[in-house]
Amino acid sequence: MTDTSAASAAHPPDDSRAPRFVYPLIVIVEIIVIIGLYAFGAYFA
Amino acid sequence: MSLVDWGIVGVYLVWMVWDGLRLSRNTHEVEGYLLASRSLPWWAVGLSVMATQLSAITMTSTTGQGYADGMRFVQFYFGLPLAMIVLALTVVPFFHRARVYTAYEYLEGRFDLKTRTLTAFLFLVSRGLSCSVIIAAPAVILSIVLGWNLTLTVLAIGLPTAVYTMFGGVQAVTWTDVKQMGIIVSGIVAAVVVLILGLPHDLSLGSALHVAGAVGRTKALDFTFDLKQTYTFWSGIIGGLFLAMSYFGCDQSQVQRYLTAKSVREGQSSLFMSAFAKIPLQALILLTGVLMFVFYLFNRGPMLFNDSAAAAVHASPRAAEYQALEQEYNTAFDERRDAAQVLGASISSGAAGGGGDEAKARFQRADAAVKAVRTRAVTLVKEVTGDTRWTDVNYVFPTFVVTQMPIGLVGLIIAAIFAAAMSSIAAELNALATATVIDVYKRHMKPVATDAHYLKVSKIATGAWGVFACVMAVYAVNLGSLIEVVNTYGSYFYGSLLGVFILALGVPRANGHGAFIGLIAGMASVAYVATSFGIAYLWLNVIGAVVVTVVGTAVSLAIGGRRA
Repeated sequence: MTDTSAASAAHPPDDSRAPRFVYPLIVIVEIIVIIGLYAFGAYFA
Repeated sequence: MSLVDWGIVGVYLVWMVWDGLRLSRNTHEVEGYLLASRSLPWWAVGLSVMATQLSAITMTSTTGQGYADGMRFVQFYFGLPLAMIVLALTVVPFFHRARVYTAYEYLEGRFDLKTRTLTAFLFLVSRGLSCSVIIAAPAVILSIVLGWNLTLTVLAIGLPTAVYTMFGGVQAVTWTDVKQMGIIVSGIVAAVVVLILGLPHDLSLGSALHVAGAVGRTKALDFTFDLKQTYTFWSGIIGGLFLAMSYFGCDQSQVQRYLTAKSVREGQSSLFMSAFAKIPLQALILLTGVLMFVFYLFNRGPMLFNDSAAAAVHASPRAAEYQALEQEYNTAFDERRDAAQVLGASISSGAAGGGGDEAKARFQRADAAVKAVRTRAVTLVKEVTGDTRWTDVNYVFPTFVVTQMPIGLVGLIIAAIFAAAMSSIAAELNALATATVIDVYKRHMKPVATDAHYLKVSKIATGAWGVFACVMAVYAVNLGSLIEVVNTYGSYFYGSLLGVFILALGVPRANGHGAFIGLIAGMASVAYVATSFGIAYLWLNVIGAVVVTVVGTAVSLAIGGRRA
């Protein structure tokens, strides 16, 4: 998508990205949280 | 409510309006008013994203679900972190690079005007109505629990929000969201602390959770694969993934939050905040409900947590039946309390095997008896009032707050419920005004005008949507389990909207005709499946997205060419 707006010319978009390690980290944390919730239910059942 | 609590709620309302109006001084052009000149830090945007999603319905209905059904509802959010990964990699960089004001504006560049207009129209209709539900839901509950006038409660929630959103624009929305999120979390933590301190002296927190667990309240995961069951691991991780992708990726009320971020990286980071914090926060809110369940095991609560419904039955010819049920409830409650005490004592003393199992079985029988009486009472209310969806789930938490919390904390939590409502309403008014001005007024009615003109129209549109939402909210009635109503309604078109964006970003040969026909086919399929098969609403998002993608791709290939 090509942008032609004047605002864009004045302030070019910052295209820096979030560090890539965050993506697997989110998955790992979610797995830990789900296991924790499962363990919580099993322990207090 | 005491004078101190009134004071806290009053100070909160004045603070929010003052803070919002203060920020209006920084807003002199349309991009500043609608997108904060794309200058906000990730943490403010991230808190705003969370505050927008966490409405007052979440606070009242989710705690109620924790009380009545336990932790199972947390599964609803399992797809959310995965959705944030997908969105951070796709729509966030796309939207930022395109320098768009709305998600639908992007669709005109990729497809055509009719696809943009239809998606913007769907957003305006659905969000316009849901905005009034978001005002009405807490207003109805607070007016009943606190004895306030319903219309005045609606205005107390809706009017200040409309005022600061209208004058302060997205800057006011975001920075008040940050403060409101702080108030909401403080309120929830305060409730949890009071509930833990309110446990019987001989019952530890661990023993209390064991007692709740004996009747399934601590069980969070259900791996049953059943399309008709609302909250399972599979519906949460698959249906929830599609719903979250659609809500955070295609709904302007969320897209606008991260469009205000100062860079792609900051926009992505704002979504990561929800990815990490959403499930633990929802688990904490549900745990509040579970602890309320334990609290009401040992402290006699009302048979039904809605005085006005009870009064309606008392005033009806079937009052004697209700009184008989109340007597049954009292007997069943006493037996359950005794059984809970025995079970708690056996858990605390570490009794295993025979004694412990017997105490657990007795408690389970007693809880089932209480539940049966409550079910009959609910049925009686439904028959007397004619409201077939009536439930008192949404009233448990506000009733607990008003009747059991200490002075000062009552005001804090009522302010937190206000904050939860106002943060969602403000974001929606802001987004509704943006879509109205950018996708309708500027695109179809007045393409050429000064920036000052569009700024003025944006403020008028925000105010008009605020008035519309308040008026509609006054007419909204008790909608049963409100969070499900809002989510169910969203699922009728959310998945289909997501399908259009999947076509836009993932199918290079998709064209405007394909997207438009696919969208209509998707919504028709969802309506048919929802009304004919009784499939749980989370799965409707998957069906809508898949049908739009398949039909849209097929039509595009049949017509040929990328553009319509």
